[in-house]
Amino acid sequence: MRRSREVLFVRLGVVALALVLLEGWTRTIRESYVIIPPTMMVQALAILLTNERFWADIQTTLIEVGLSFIIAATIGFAVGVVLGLKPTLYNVIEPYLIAYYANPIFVFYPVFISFFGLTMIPIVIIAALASVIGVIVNTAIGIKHVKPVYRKIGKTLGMSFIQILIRIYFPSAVPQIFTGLRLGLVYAFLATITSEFLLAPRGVGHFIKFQYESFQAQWMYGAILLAVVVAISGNAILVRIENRLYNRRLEAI
Amino acid sequence: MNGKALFPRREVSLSPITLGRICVPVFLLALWWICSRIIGDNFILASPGISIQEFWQGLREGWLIRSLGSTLGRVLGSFLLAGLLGTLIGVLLGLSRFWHDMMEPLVVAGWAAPKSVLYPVYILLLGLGNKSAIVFAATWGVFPLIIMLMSGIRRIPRVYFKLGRTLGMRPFALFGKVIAPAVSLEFVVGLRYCWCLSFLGVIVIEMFGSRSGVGRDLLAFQEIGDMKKMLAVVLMVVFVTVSISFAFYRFESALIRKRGLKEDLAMAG
Amino acid sequence: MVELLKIAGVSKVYYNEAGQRVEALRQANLDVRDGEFISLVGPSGCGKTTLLEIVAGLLEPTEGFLTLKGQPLKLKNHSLGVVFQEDSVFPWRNVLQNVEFGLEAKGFSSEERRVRSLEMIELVGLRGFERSYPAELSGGMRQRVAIARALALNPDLLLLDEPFGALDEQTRFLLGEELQRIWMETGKTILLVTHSINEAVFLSDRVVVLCSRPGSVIADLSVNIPRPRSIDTLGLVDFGHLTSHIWTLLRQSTSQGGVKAHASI
Repeated sequence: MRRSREVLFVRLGVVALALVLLEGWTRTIRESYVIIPPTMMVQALAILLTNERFWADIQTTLIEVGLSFIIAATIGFAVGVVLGLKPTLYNVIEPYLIAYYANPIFVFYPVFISFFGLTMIPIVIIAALASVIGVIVNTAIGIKHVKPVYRKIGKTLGMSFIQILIRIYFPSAVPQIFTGLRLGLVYAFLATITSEFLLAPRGVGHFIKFQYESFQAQWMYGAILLAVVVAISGNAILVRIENRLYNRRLEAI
Repeated sequence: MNGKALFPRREVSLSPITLGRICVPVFLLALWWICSRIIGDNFILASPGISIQEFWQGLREGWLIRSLGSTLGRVLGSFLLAGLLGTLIGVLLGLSRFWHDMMEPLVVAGWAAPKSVLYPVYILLLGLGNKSAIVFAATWGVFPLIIMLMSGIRRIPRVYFKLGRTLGMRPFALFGKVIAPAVSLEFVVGLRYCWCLSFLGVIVIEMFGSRSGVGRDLLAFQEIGDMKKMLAVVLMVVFVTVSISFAFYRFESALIRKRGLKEDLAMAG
Repeated sequence: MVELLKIAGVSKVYYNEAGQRVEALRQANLDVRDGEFISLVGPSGCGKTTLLEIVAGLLEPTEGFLTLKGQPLKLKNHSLGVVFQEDSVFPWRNVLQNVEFGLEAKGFSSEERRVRSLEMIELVGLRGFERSYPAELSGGMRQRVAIARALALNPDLLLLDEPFGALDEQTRFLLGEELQRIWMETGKTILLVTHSINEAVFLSDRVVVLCSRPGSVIADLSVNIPRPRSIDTLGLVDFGHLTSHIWTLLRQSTSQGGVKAHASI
């Protein structure tokens, strides 16, 4: 335990040092329209958070992320379970799952905009498409790797297939499924922000671009700070929960 | 059933798995075709047939290739940058237990942070143009490579290092003969992610503001409402990326088979 | 004593990945009486695990039939407790929840489940560990949980497939003694698969010896050493005779075809 404390302190120290250096550099050397000091970023964000219209943007982003994630999680879970239960099917589809990930999802964005207009819908679709692959793959792997002996136990107890699926497969695959959901959420968030940033009527990403184009450095950085902090801390919290799920399982086989 | 075949033929290896894999694009094309028939208007959703025609025409007229060329040029640039940086950092962090533990959450934070919105910062620092584009897209690709290498090297069984020491191996030899081969799979997978994300980053930049490239063309076609050309471009991009990822997949599968591992390649993250 | 389990003419044939025909088990016959402790012993590939899995309802025999208490052996009619060699304890449930698992699946109320499970946990000697998770337990303790879980449903038969195979020799022996104690306290009919001749002779009333290619029964030997047996049993002359007899049978069987023998000491 002591060593991990040590590591934590060094890490905090390094990050603090970097921030201090950045603060110093931005205040003394460059003109403050390129990069503004971190303290000013925080101040700007504080002011933004009192602004009604900014909250409207935040709301839009949240709705898009939420909707796309729910759609992706539901579809992804169902598909993942089917793939996990049928390893040959998984085998057949595996190269396409990889190819799916390789495809830059944003090439479809203009197509969807043409189709659905410049609304939330193309963004939700893109974000759901980006998100679903993480859920599918990790769910499939979690289900696939359930130890065959667990299934045998279920059979000898006379359980039906549905019972075995729900009482044995699902609980066993929980850590891996959680990983999938975490990745899905992160991808949904990243895809939403990026889509808004590229072309959208509203949203935090759009706000950032708008402020950039209006040369309003402080508001731009305030919003960037918000997006970055939310993403990093959200992921970090989920990782902690995830690690605890995995640690409970460390069986010494 | 052991008689000799009457008409000996060359072995055609069409296993059910390969058959299944061929079915997937066929199925998708069929789905596309059905949707376009239902909608019925090539203006709203062009049929596969028309899009492929447009695709060939684009190739002949040359604009399609030029577009792809600009994009691929940038992707290559950022892939090389991210590849070199990522490999260096990944290896260094992997070899030192302390640095690994310390930097790991920071690297993960880098992966999770929305990098697209930072593009203006790069423009302000490096100006508009290929320089900022390549550096920016590299920040997309570099993180997964670092993460894969870092964790891959950490997972090398300690006993390999003990063996190296008892044989009196020098550090470079140890690296070349033990460490590098041991993480070759993680390295290739990391490179694949690096390529994919660099590509994504370049597309995003081009859509944000650029004078050439696939991303810019897609937005331009969207503005004038030319669905046929849009789908032709999409078709081309999909074709290129799928081919490259299949190449990666074959290579990775061969590595896995040689080692007798049982990895699941599609581990996203 | 009444015959509980009857295995008659059971064969199992399957085709492996290369398409070759594998005769895993040929014409196995066995009558097990109520309350007996039977071991199946033999080299790998002799069909002992196959036979156990057929009895457990996990595999269908190609030929032959099995009856339990006079009725055809079907998982819905009967209750079986099975313990596998691999770690089969669920890591996401603690000990108590693991033992309750079968009872949950059969729809017992939470009161009944708790009472029954605590009894079983006590029986296998894990009192005090009810709330522990498998990750905190040793391999031997986890197998005890598996035994408790198997017994919680009050099964007609207890089947164990090399349950101590993954453990070290001392733990193996201690758990063997525990198994003997559990058997004597509960009076259950037990079918144990093992590759350890010593273990088989130490624990059983009868040792059934199988050979491989094809898997078949070559001997059904009674063990008349009095109970309870202990570490001293290993030094008895009778014990040594019986174990070396089994060794000889197995060695012969690999050079010839099958050898049918019936003997007791």
